[in-house]
Amino acid sequence: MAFIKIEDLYKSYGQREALRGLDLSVSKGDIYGFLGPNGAGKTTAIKIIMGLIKPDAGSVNIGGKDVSREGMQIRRYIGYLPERIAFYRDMSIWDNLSFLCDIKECPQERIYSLLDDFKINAPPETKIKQLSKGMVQRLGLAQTLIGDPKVLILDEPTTGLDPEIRHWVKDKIIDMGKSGKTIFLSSHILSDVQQLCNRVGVISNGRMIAEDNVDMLGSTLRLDHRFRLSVKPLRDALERVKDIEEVKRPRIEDGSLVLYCRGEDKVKVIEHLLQHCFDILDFSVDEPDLEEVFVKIMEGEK
Amino acid sequence: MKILARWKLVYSRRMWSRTLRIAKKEYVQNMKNPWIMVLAVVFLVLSVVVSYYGTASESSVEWMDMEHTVRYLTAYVEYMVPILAVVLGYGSVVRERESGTMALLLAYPVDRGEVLSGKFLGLWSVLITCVVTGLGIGGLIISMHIPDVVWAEYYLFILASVLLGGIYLSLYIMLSVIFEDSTSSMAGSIFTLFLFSFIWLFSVYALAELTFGWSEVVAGRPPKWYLGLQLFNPVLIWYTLLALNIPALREWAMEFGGEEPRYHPGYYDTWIMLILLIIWIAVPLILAEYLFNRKEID
Repeated sequence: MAFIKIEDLYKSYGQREALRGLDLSVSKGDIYGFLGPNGAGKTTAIKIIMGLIKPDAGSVNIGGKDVSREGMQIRRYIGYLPERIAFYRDMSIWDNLSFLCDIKECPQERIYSLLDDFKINAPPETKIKQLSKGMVQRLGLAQTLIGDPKVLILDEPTTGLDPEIRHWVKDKIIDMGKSGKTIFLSSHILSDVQQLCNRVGVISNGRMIAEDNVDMLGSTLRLDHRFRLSVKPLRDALERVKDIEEVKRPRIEDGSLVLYCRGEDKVKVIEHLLQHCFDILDFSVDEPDLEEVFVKIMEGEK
Repeated sequence: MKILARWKLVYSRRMWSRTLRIAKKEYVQNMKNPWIMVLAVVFLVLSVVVSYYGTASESSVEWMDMEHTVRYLTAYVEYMVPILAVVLGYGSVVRERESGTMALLLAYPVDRGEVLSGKFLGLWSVLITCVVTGLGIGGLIISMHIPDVVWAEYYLFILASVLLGGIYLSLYIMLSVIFEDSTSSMAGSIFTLFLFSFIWLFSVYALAELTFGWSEVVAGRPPKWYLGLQLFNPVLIWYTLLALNIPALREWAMEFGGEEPRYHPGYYDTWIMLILLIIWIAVPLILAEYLFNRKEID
């Protein structure tokens, strides 16, 4: 049974339709990746889930409760990280977290363990305006756990972070997922979603265009495999494979020839290269990745 | 049923606890604003200077009694209190929307009405602290220099000023909900100040001159609608409340032309003026809550 259920959600801003009948469902304990290009409607959907904006039509249910009618009760067990996290800049780390703790009516002792867990090394009396962006993002993630919520809604949690912090944030999200929380994560970074989520929904132009786990999406959509060949001479081989109709996006990457084609066309590529006296030293085939899923879906949309 | 549910909320302990927590945050945060301290000092200095130098034009410089100090102070407090309310109120909602903290706060289990009530209570407490400290210390200094101090009139003046501040604050919070950016909210707040202190008065005077003649007002025979219209301007209610209770102000008003409460109808009463001031605080806040509940938080 779905723990988060969105049905037929519509939202317009003047003439622009941000959501056009969005449907999705997230099961309890899922780490759900909500994927889509910028402007697809991800943030609008999340703001409706959080009760920050009202839909024109449709419904959002979390744990069997309707967000528009029982938003207060629902927000007791949700932790939310907005796309643009902001704290009261003139207040200290401690004052910010203690204020939020009071609003959620949870004990302030929890603040110490949160600061510790999220490696916020600055003294608690440090003002927010003195913190780095990475530290603020950690603090943003830490505040989502105030009140030990069952559901976490994270809007672009890794966007705009340096690689080290981004890696740390991803690890933390995995830990949160392991602790049994249902996580709804929006992103336009495919590799992050692939790494973190067990289920994915792809939104484009305000509609859900595919919803499944990554492997299932790949096979359902009959996606191309990624084919990597170590071949000599490399540049000539690149020109040669361009003649094969079934080959897509051939290119040279790290001294290898990389191309995309259907599983059944792999042999044809190898035969073609051997016929033209190329030396194939090695080759490997990768399963379709999320990039492929995304490109395919977006091509279909166009 | 909805109304009953709402009343149930009014009595909810949790609701009050969240409202007071937001009020406390607003109070602590805004008391750190250096402008608030500056304005408190201005209130203090103003009350002392006005009391000492108020009679300078009458070729003698000496301390005035409380009643006459209040008479001169009203001319300044009429503008100072709304300015203090602008500093506190114009960005109260819109700046939080701009910075993103409103989205974070409303993602927590808190009702939008609680956010607005908490903000109002916290900011009004700051205004009260500032006015009471400034005018209070000023009053104490004055009392050390004059014999037979009558405090009642001074207390009423402080109470009325604090209520006037509450009205402006509630209006500015409403404007802060309505406007989409803090610059527009500030412009709207300053316009509101001018509206009640200048534009309204001049418009009503012009209307009076065009319809029945200004001389009728000066002679104490204004028509009923003219008197009724006064109640739609909080500054005039505030002034009437003071004039009803402070003889020096009443005399001054008579000299100034036609505001003499002697000619005011029976409903121009201290309690009614106090109730009207409170209604003036409540109505913009209720409107603000209505609008805020329909506002989309970006």
